[in-house]
Amino acid sequence: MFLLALFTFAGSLTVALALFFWYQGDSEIVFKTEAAHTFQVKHEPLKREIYCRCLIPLTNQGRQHGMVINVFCQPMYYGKIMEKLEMIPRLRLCREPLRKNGYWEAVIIKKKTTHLTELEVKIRAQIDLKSLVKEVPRLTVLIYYQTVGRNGIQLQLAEIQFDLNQGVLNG
Amino acid sequence: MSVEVISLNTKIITPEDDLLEVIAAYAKPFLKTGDTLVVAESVVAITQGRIIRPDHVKPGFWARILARFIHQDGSLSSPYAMQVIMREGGTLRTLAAFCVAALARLLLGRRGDFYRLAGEQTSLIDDITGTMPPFDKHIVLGPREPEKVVAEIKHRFGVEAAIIDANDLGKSKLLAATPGIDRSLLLRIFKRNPAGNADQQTPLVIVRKARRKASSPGPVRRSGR
Repeated sequence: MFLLALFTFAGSLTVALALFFWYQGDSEIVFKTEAAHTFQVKHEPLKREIYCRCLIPLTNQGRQHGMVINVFCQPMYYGKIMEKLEMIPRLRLCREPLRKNGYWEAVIIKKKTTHLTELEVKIRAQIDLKSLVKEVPRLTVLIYYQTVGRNGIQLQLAEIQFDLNQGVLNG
Repeated sequence: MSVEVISLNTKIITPEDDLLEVIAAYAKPFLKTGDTLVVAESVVAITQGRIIRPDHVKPGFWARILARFIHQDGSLSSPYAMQVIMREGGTLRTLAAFCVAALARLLLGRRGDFYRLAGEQTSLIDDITGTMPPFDKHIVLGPREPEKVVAEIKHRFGVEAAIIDANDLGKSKLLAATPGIDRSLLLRIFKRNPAGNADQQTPLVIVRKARRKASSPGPVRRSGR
């Protein structure tokens, strides 16, 4: 009888906790690359540089606050041509000033809020831009980000593409 | 009484630094007899190595459960910070504090018992984002033996010393102070957090009874009452 009561109590408590945790939910922070806008691709043939920029919403669509503690950007690998290119990607929260070394300061993203982030990629080429664009017509940038919520640390990935063909000529 | 508040810029202070040497380098040239040197709580903790990356913490079963019951604005709502507190104060004590606090809240409507019972570190811990870069990605605990630290500062530099936890929300807490300090005056001054909470890099503040205006170009000076 005692054991039955104990098991019933433990079972009810487990179910109650599970329901509470389910109802409470967690943060769900995502870089909404599909909603990215204000794309800019500038060609500077004299300097052999291409400057890419866009704004990406960073949204917490979960039911709890969460934190983004690290963000790293990495352009995709495009083969041997990469030896002749220097690519410097930087991502920052628009409300924060850009740190010269690109340091991402850990930030709390409150539930149901969206913050704009700015992604910049500077490409310096040792070859002329026409050859570069011919070989790499689209530049994919991978965004790895580490979030922390009630459930722990998660490493997530987003990707975004710049059309290098659609560049505006400068210089 | 009029006081002059002088915020001192320092380099980024890391666990490799010795607090007394930092004070010797950045504050000693400006210290005068009768001054009070106030040190930011997080800087004392950092020099004591009381920082940990969340990646190096494995939250246990109880930390995951208990963290769920802490309001999401609190540092302990993260299972990592909760695990660190359990490691610091003991799992049993934390669990007991939680149970008593839950009962007190349900039956008496009283809040805050968990922080009173689980130990001082529960209210001093800063979760990720709680400290200025480069420690924004760390969990920063409260300092160990703050009374001993202020006594050492007084012994070496001959001035009154205090460790304070101040923030931009107008809340400040005096962790330790040498006996000659007017605690209420200090708390009033630090309600405005003259050391700043972000990138100011001014973790040392001299509080000086104002006589006349000084003109040293080094530190940031403010006057207060």
